[in-house]
Amino acid sequence: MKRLLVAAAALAPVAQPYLAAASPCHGGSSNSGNGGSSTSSSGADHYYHPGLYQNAPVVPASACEDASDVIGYRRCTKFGAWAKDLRIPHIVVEGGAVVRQFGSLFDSQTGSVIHGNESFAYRVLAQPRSRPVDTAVLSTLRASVGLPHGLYTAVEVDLGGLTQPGRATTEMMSSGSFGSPELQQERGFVVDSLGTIGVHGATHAGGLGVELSGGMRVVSYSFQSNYHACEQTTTITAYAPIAEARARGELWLSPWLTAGVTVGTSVLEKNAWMGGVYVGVHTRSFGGDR
Amino acid sequence: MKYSLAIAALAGCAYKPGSFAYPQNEFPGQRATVGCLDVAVERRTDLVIGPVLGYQFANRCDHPTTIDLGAVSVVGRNAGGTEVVLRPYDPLTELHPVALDGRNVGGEALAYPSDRAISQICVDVATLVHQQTPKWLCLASTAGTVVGSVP
Repeated sequence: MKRLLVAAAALAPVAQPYLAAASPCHGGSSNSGNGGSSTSSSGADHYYHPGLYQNAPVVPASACEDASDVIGYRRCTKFGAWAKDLRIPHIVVEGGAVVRQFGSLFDSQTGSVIHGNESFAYRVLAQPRSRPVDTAVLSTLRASVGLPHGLYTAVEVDLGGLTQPGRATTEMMSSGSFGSPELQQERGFVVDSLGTIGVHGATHAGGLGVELSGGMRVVSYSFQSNYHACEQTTTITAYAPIAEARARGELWLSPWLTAGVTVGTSVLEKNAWMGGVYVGVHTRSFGGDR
Repeated sequence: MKYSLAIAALAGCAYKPGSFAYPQNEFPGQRATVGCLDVAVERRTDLVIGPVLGYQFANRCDHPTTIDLGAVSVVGRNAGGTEVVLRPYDPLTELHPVALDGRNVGGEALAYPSDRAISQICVDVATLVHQQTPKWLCLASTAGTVVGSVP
């Protein structure tokens, strides 16, 4: 939850970017009258000199200030800085947390660990008669873009740790001067990279969506190796494709903020599922659905 | 606690219809509601070229609405009662219809060139949103009225 709140706070400025008070200074070529700005600036120049014949320090153009806010007399802020360009599609940035369970990827993987100048190869095996599953808790960051007809597309990155890796046994494939290291399974981390396409339906209070996601999962399994009073951490990295069917539901907390839940299941393997919560920041009030 | 406050700030930043209030935005002058807009029009101190009107508007609706400041009907009256149609000062031809997002606010200030002193200025705020039924707001001159000339 703490992670979710931090993500929402970090995304807060995205909610109303068009409320920014001043756009970058795109100055006209001349001052237009009594009420005009005393600041001379140019859209191409990023600096100006306050005095042409003085050795004054260079002042950043971000100091552009208008003496008047009247159209025709101001230079720093364009007309309609508060406006919304409806040609820009609806964008949503979401942050949240998900729990995933999926089949362990370590079975039959091989690795190596180095102790001093000795290198040892090992193999990881799943427990016999059952396919182990990994459970992971991940932070998720996602950006989606609205398309016509209620469709949307999104990219998503999930990053987190294995809270409960599937039980593995290890088998040393080589030995050294003092025998073979002992390997003890630890946790690991997971990175999921996904692309999504979905369809969205709106209600007054929120929205529902169904979507298909596909991408790649990278899992790094950690093992602690003990060899003659020497401890090392070794990892095995495995890759696997992801394909998920998901459903989402969200509620509007404000015109630009939603909170939602998502659940999904893999279409590639049994007993693989995900569930999560998220907070989304929208560039259009109520997603442009009302 | 501070994260909860950040969430609360995000959740509470929408314009409340009819409130004519928004953080860091005042709605001075005369107020009216036309279509999706809550509008406040204020007559400011005149510039040399003519009177100046400050517009502050807020979208009451949940969806965007189009605002056309260049199309607003403005009529000035001098002390003798003569009426003159006023056009906004727009040397860079910036004025164009723009969309204001739902439950959001905006504001602009426009000068209206005139070759005579304008004692009263009337604005049909309905034309701001191209509404047929007129809604006139009339504002008297301020103490800072200056007699000017067309630039």
